[in-house]
Amino acid sequence: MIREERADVLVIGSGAAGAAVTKRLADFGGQVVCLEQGEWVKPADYPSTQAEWEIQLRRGTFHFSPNVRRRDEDYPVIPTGGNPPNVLMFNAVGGSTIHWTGHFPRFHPSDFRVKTLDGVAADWPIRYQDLEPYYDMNDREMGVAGLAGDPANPPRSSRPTPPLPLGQLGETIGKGFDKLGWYWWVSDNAIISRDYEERPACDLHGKCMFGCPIGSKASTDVTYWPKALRKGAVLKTWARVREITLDANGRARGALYYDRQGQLHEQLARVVVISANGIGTPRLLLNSKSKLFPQGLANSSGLVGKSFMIHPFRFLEGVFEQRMDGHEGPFGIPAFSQQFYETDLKRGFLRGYTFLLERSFGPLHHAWGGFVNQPVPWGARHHRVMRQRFPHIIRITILGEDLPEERNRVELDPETKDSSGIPAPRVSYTYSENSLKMLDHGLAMARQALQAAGAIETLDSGIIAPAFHLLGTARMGIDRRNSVVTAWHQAHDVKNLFVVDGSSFTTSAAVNPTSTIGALALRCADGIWERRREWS
Amino acid sequence: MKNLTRRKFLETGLKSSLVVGSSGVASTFAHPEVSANPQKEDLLASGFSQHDHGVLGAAMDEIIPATDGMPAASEVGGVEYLVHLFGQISDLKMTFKRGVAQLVEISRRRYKEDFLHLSRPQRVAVLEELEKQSPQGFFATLRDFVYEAYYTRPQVWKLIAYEVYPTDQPGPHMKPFDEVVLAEVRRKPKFYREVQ
Repeated sequence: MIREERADVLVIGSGAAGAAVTKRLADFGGQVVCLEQGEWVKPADYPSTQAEWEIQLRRGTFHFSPNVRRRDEDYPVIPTGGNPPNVLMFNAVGGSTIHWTGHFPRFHPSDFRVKTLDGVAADWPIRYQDLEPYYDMNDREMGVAGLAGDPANPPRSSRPTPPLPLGQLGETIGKGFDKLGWYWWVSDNAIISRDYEERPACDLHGKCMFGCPIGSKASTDVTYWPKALRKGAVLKTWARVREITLDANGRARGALYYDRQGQLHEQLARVVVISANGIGTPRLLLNSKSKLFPQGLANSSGLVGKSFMIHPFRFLEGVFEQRMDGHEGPFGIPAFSQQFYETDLKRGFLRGYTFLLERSFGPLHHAWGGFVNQPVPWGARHHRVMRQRFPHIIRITILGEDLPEERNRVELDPETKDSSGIPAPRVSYTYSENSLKMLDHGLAMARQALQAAGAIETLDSGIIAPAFHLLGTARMGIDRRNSVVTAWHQAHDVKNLFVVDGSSFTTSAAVNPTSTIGALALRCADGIWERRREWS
Repeated sequence: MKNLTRRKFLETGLKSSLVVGSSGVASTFAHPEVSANPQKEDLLASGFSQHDHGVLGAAMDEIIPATDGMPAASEVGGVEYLVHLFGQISDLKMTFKRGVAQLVEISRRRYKEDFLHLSRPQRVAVLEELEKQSPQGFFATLRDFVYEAYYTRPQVWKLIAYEVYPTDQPGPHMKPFDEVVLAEVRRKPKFYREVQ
């Protein structure tokens, strides 16, 4: 085994959280080493540079699911439960920001007080106000297009760049929302509409769920990492972490990892930060069993891997007579509505949901059935129906808040291992009654919105396997009996071990989480730096 | 603000940031060549008989027929595209060989004729039976790959007015965002819960 020189801070994972922690600590002057199991993605390799980019929706090395993609750096994820999730993630420098929508909403203040307000789940140990300056900081680092002034959200600073074009579909659905008297707003997206720092403005090509080759869409390989490396941070790629190592006092000593050749290394550090996503992080903690921690590291509460949350969602597509050209322009989320975001008991469920107005892929995706999996009929009607649908569709995604339930969990699969022999995660998930009622309500309201906007037909996805936003499996809290980490992301059981990523979410809110993950990571870095004298 | 081109960004920003092996955006929009007129030997080398190819072509032309001013699937190189994929996706060739055999078997059972000798309505009836037998099995595979063969062809894109906007060329013109669209919402009161 090769023992690497001791760093101040070891960060595991280079995605939305790991990159932000690393850069912030490097700015302070900390000596930071980050281990990433993937590699740098070359912009020219993005499917968005290929004519047949849509094929990646079904197969190929940029497929959203690691179980389909099967790159060397991926690990298998075994789905199970009543609604086995189709887990989406990416393993590379930049993590899952390599192919994400770029949507960049914030939590609401009420999202941090779910127990107090609605009597379910738990309150976060921090408030919106604690995170607000870090949201702003993360917005500046990532580069955001948007507009302040949404009356359905707390006031926020002016956005780094102005909103991206709404397109025909954005303007059309906006009129529908207006007709119903509903709240809606142009979205914050981490896709810059003007040249920003060293990156060029989005040139509206679309296709960018499969990577933005010009760097207008923020992925941390083009935002945080170049700056972190210039500040002296060290990023080791093809470094697959097997377990966290401990010293005789039960403090984290570093991590064991395999390099690409299978050689085992130990990276030593004063402080260890795990940012490996809501599945990778509990997997690593559970794989780090020892005499001191027989249930897995930082798991005296027994909660590591439990209360896995993944946003319940449902798609509704509206077919319009006029062209909507949803395949043009940055993927992102042009507009959203939070008319049904806060709890209203009259609706028959707790908490709420967001309507995301989404752009789409190209003709092949539509022929295959679009997001609602209703293929264009074959035979004599084929061309007629294809012309009706493409490019005439507006899609609304109903994205609901998932509440933590212990039966939904990440465990180690007893049989499956990755290519390094490390046990793979098994993810069990079943929708709650609350989620199903919420999605039914959302479907009826989305249909109303599309019809108000002029849709001549609507196509429903039905209940589908949850797929994105991996949250809650090492949650923050004050009481060590019902949480894994403190308000500063410090493991209750291991003082120099920190967990910050989707797994540290106490509740899921009803918004895409990446903006909050980045903000939490910056705040976590500040906490580590303030207490740096404790670590030496 | 320095006005950066895409290529400039890739050459300076990324490379100076140690993006290993960054080679820039592809200078041409990569599009694998699939010949619309392959040599007979190439087709046979795929392990499919002439008859298999004929059945496959006839079946795909009922899935995407030449109607409404659009060409049929085989007219845009659909068979050749699938044969090209047989060499790339393991088991796909066997799946199609078995599927073609199913079509032939249904044809003989229903009409005592080979699929190739059926009338077009009879071919449609055979495909409908196959779909009924295995909606998520071979029929779905056949339909989806025929759609793929069709909607990845540039000549089809032109006919359906799909502009792909290659990354090394300008993107579409889109009307810039205008705040006027938010006038109604701006008049509304605050709509989030305050929390102490």
